[in-house]
Amino acid sequence: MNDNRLTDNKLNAFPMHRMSEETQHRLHQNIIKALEQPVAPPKRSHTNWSKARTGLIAVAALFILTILSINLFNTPSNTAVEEPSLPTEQPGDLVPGTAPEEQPEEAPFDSAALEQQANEILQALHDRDMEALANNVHSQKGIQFSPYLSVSDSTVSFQQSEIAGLLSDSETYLWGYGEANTEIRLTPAGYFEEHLQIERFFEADEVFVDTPNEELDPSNYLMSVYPEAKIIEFYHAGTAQYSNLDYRSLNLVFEQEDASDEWKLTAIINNLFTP
Amino acid sequence: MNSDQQTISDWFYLYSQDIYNFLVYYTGTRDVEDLVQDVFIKAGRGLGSFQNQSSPKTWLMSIARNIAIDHARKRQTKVSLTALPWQDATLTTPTSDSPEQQVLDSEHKLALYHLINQQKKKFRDVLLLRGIQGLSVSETATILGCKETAVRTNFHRAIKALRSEPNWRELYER
Repeated sequence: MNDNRLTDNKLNAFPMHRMSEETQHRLHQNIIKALEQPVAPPKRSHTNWSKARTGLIAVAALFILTILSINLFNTPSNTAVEEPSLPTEQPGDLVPGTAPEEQPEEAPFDSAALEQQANEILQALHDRDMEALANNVHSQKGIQFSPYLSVSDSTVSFQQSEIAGLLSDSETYLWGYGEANTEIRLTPAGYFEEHLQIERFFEADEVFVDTPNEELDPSNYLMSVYPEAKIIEFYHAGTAQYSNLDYRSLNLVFEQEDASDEWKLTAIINNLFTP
Repeated sequence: MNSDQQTISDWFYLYSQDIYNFLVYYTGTRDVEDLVQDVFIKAGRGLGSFQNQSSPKTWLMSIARNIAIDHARKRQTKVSLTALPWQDATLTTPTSDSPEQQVLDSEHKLALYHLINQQKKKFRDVLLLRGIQGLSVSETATILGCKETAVRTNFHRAIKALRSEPNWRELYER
């Protein structure tokens, strides 16, 4: 008891950091000025560097997919796969030996329930029921949207509190780059309409629940980006008419809330052939 | 100044120092003025979604926490494939100018702060909010979006975890 009190006291004894009055006034002025502007400033700064990087990632993903599609029928299992190195390092020499607290707590995970939740989200997206969507979005991490299999600094994301009003947001965002490196610059409503194409996934050819789709994501890219996530992938296979290049999948990425341990949506990532 | 701006202006003078202090500890650097600014701009734009179930301060703190997470995630994605969890990399990776050194002058406090940052995220959250910021169980629960019982349990476990660190007794209880 006393020991706990001692620990409490240690924590309470941390100094309070304060801004100077001058800084405070300056920030206040900036805030009021920003709020007086009718149009919100760009959500993200898109530097040439981030554009170039996004482009490079997209090209790299495309390259892997192209190789895969060529070799698909010849080498089913042993295609070149660059496994990203796993984050095996532990922070410092914190605990010698194996400490029980350091073991990652395996999150309670009911695959059928998560698939059901994913189906409800699909319906909410289709119905543009943003309240329902907001209820499923991670309250701390918010949600990211990517029009293809790439996640970077400039991937558009929103906080949970922004979801309910998302479709009435008239601001345009740069969601990524399309054909011939043209910008995908749309409002959220425009993005939902043109890039989610939810209807196609109600009759998915396959639903992958926390299982990598080795055809479309051979290097397990998404799990390396979201190592603690469970991913539900709705997969629409390509057709022979288009040499199978008209495949498309929608990945719903779920991560656990810190306290409630509930699985909540943190990203919606498309995967499709990008010429 | 319209009424929303007036509200944000009032809240700024009431709570900006608390938000600043929280962000300093949450990010491990004193370079958080831009984040403080973002918190109040975001609050001003989203004032319609503020529900009086929580106090303005806890609402602002939850926005601040989201912004800090987002900020860390944006920086972290550059090395996301091989990185440690964001909070560890953000706070425990030594940098040339050691921002933590600017945050905490005492060696013991710095060591304790590092220990806190090495805890799992849900422990770290309650240690920072409940312990260092001195918020109530109810305020912490509101900010984290969880039940009060979860805050109590996690705080208790977090203290226990700190106390089971090998160098705890040597450093803090002598």
